[in-house]
Amino acid sequence: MSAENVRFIIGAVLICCGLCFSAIAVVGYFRFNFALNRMHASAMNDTLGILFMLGGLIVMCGLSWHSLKLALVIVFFWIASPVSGHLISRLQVLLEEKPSEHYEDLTDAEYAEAFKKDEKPEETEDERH
Amino acid sequence: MENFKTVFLTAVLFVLGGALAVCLIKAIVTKGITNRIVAVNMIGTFVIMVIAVLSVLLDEAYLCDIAMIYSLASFISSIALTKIYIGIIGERRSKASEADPEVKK
Repeated sequence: MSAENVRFIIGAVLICCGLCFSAIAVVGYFRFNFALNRMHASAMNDTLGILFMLGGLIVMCGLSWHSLKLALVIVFFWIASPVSGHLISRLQVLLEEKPSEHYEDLTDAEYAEAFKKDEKPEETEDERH
Repeated sequence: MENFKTVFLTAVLFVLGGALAVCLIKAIVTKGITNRIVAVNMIGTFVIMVIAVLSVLLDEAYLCDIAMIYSLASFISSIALTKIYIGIIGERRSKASEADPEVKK
């Protein structure tokens, strides 16, 4: 068992894990009907799918500039994907016509009432100053 | 060993291509702008995986740079699209609330 064979086998196992996560994400996208649920599934593809797939490729390549570039792709994608996911969910909440079917839509007044207990200690601190 | 690597990575490419085609069909068929943006995001991720696998299969390191550029492009495109739509909706709602004060903002 040379080093290259072991590297290939470990890399192949990791790539198969990545393919499994991507397949689960695609099936999840099909099974759900609502956009926020579908984003749950697509985020699984964005994080775990890319990680295992490119991690397996990094192990296959060994330590080199190639693996460093692949690791940089993973790092950038993990930083960028939650931002776009947040914006898409904001758009969906704005466009929603029947919010009561999918989630509780609290107005600002109801939120403030729910968190009234947290605001009181801050007011007493301001009065002291 | 080189033969195994080539065959395995080609099989991985086929599976990824099939998932990509399925996602593309679903992006065309579903209704609603948000569902389509989510599908396009997933397609972008699959494309990045395909480019990375190709870079190892052909043993060319510069293809990883193309993967990085594509991830930047897809990220910016989804952000730009959603920001444009949020702006349009804000304008419509402010116009509607000016015309009729009972409409929800």
